[in-house]
Amino acid sequence: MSNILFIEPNTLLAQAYTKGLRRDGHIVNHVLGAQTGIHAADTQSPDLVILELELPGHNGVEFLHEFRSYMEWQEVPAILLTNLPPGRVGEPGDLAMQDLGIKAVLYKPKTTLQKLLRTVREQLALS
Amino acid sequence: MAGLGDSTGKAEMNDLLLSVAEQLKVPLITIARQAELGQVTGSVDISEIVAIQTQADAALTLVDSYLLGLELLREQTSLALEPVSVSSTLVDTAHDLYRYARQYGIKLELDVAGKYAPVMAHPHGLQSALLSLGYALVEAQAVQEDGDRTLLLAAHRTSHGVVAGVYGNYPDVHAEQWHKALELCGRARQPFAALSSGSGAGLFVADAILQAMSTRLRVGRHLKQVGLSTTLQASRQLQFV
Amino acid sequence: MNQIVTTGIVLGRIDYGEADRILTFLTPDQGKVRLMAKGVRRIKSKLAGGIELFSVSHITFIRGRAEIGTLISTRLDKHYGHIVANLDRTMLGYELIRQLHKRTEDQSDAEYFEILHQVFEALDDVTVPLPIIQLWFLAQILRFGGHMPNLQTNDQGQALKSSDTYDFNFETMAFNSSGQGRFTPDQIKFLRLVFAGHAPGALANVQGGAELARNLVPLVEQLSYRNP
Repeated sequence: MSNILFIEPNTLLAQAYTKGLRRDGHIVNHVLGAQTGIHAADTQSPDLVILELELPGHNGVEFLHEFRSYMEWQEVPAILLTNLPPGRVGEPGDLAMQDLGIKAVLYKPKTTLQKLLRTVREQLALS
Repeated sequence: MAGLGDSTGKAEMNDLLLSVAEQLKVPLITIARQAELGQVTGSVDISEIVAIQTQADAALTLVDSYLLGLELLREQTSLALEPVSVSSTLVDTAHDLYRYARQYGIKLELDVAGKYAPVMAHPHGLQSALLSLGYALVEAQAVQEDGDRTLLLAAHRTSHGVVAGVYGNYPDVHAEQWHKALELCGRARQPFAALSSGSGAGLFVADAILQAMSTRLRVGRHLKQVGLSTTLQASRQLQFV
Repeated sequence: MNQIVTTGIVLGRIDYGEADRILTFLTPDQGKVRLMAKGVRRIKSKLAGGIELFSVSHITFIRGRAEIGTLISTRLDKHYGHIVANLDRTMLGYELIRQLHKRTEDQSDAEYFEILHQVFEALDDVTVPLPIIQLWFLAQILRFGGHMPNLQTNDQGQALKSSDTYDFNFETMAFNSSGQGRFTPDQIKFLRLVFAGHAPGALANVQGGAELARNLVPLVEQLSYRNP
């Protein structure tokens, strides 16, 4: 069973994804924003992070910048599940994305639950 | 907002449309994923059905309010205003907002005690504006990581008129940010990040509707809570009776 | 021990042990400095105060015997909050910080602070298009590194004409005339303004500036790769 930190500001949307991830056998810790994301990671160190970049207050880039400054979290894979349209974010191969440890970028309107679950399984298998 | 006929007005409405379109993704994605979850699990929880319904209602309210705003702005110079009770409008707004707020774990409170003279407003427009504002602030309150999860719909009197607004626990909200957000509507993905992780369309739609009534939204306070409110002129009609 | 008081922009942070952090600041007078923030408990330091992305802070520190000094205090001077209101701008800002951090690895020139400061100012202003900011940044790095292209004469030493189009010769770092050159006189004129150090905000007032910048970024990026 893997611990997934899931940062998503919309509670109702998060409920659907969380239920799907739990049904797939993962422990999911859902939080609404960047600051509680750091607190949650401190409490229960994640094996994977799924996050929306567009968060209230501090955004996902700021979260990852902080998250990666801690030695124990430098290799934890991150999957972006975002409303930001493709091409606006960059590709996982880009240097800035590599620095932030972003392994996959999923565009919410085009990402079914099944696609998310598949991507999570792939990244956990690789890490 | 400039007249809809000129290029400035059209550009502003275009920005608003961009904001609305972006905001509509959220309830639609939620509906799609909840429905997919039902298919995957083979069963549907009543809470999931309620979530789907409230999200659909939120999307429809946004579209409806946007279209009303467009219509009222077109008619601005000949808009028929009539005496409207602010208290009744806020009560009706609270009723319409209740289910959505409950979905997000937000408690609604009303503070409309006291006698307020009717104000000159477009009745449907005022209610749409307050409802649109209410939906946006429910979402904003739901993502506040600390503090009270209560939204207050309130009225109070000032020397300028009757102030009607929606207030909550938003520690980082200031007037300057709201002014900047109005400039960034449709041009930045998070024009008012202190209140909304998304486009904040509901706020700007509410403001557009109120503009048609010659008033605007501004950052205000009520009983130590911060929010957005509008000042409405009391009806003088009854004074001549 | 003498305390040094200056302003700084955080380029990076790394955890050190249970309670300490090493922060790398870019300053206008001390260049790049690495400072240990002792006993900074994680919960309190996160995402708050004078060590956020896109901030300029007042810092007080003591130089250490080794490379790492000791941070005494930080106070936020300015946080460029509008940058994070638009993720495109956040991503570009992050990328430029990353590039500058890498480029100043062995150097501590004070000019780099002003470059990054100007980048923050420009990113914070939504009227300044991103390609202009990116182009400006790359050009200033090349300029301070002493790798300016020749924007006045072609590779034969003749003055560039406003009627010709040009291609760029990376060996001679100059434009050469070409019947169907990729670069127009307008683009070259714009490049002159950029390399002259005009602020991104001023460049944004040039008609068609965003488009000109967008078309010039690949050239200047190539120049950067070839002149690290």
